[in-house]
Amino acid sequence: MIHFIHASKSYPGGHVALDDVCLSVDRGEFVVISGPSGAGKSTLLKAITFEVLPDRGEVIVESFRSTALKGRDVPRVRRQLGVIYQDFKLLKDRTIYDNVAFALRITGVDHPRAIQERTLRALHRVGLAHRRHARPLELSGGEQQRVGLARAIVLDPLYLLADEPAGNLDPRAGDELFALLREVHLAGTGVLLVTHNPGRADSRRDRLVHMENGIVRELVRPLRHAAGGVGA
Amino acid sequence: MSLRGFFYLAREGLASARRHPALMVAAILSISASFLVLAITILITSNIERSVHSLDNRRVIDVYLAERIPAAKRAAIESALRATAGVDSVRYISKDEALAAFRADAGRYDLVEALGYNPLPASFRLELAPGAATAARIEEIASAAGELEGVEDVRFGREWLQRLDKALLTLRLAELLTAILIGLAVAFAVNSTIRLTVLARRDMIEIMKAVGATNTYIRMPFLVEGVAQALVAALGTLILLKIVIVNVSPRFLNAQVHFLEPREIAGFLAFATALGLAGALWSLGGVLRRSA
Repeated sequence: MIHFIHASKSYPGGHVALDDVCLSVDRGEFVVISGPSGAGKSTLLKAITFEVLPDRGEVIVESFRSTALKGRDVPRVRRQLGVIYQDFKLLKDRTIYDNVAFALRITGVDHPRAIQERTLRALHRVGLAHRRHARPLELSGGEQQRVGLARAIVLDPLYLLADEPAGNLDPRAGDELFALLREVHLAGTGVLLVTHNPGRADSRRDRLVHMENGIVRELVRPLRHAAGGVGA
Repeated sequence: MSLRGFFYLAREGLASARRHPALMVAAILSISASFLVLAITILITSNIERSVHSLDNRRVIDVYLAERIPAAKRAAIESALRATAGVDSVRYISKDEALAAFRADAGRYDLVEALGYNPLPASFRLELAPGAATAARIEEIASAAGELEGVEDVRFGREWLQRLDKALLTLRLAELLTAILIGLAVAFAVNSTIRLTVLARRDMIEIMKAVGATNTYIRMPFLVEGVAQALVAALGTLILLKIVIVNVSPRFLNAQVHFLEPREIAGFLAFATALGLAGALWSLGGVLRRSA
């Protein structure tokens, strides 16, 4: 579970990014977070990765609490989270395969066979195994973002955080990416998707959360999750 | 971290040289310039110490005996001198031997003919072990010998030894000071290069943090890079110095210049490794503090 318990965060200069946020996300949920620029959507994701710590209140990710966080806990939390970015953040001087395998190698997976199997499996899931020897700049934007997705899921995270993942993609590439996000979700990974376009949400299955001026407001909540957990 | 993981990260660090060759070459050249100053200082000190050690071998104390001393008493003095810590050898020089030596030095001048008797006393010549040849220790040994019954006088080059010890101490302090200054300069050079490398690879660091790499994993490639820079610079400096000493110095210097001893080379390389590590850690401190 991810819990925000009356969490607030202000940046120097007084901008309020999170304002008394209360939100709980179960493993296996698909949460679409929409809102205008500067609403605090990215800060919400950064608070989950503990890149940003709340000034007041608390954020809990599985067993890790922001109020009792030790330095060595941060990598342990992040290994349970996969993140994809609007600008992909790929290493341009390495192959697609190496970009994905890199995530395994630097988190202590060092058996060559395990690295190969997991990397190829992740690339298969995003349909890019055949391009594994290419470098990022040889791929289209949509393909690059799928490499970013493969890197995020290769560690089998509990949650996938996607920060405007289709922001730099054409509509078709965006559709392909969202189809893949649905597949990742169906395989059991919770997804928190930050987007300007709430039309991407499926109101029957997804939770739709709106943010404005750091305040979280739940718009749509599927029936099976309606029992509680959100306030603003 | 497993050995395989370590080698992967080490390769990452070394691969940085291939990705930023100009940066690496500039860093190695600037570090080499500093190391050259240090290596020359160590070389000078080493050569002077080598010469002083050969002087040490000639460090002797002459213990002069009273006239007409009984053989038993002389034997007792000899035993006491041999038992003194730091004394390597004891040689008896009789009155006749002393006179012969004087004649050899003074040429035709005949002391006995002039005075009517041999005025030179019998003596013991003590040669000291290398470790005991400090001015303070020699003073102690001489003082103990002077208190033995039957000993009339003790002579050694007191002032000369004290001056030599002082000069050596000054030289070693200068070497230490140079090492500290050069150390700071090298750590600064490594720090600057690693900072630039960190800047050039900030995407990689960001990804490493995002996927949950520990600080040890994030640091390791940069530490390897810092150590590699310093070691390559140190080895290059030593090779350059060796070439200069073997090929150039005999043409311009009268004295023979010796290259550093193996233990000095090992110390120099260890110092370089430590500086490479320190410089890299210094530059990474800020990056990792911002990693929350």
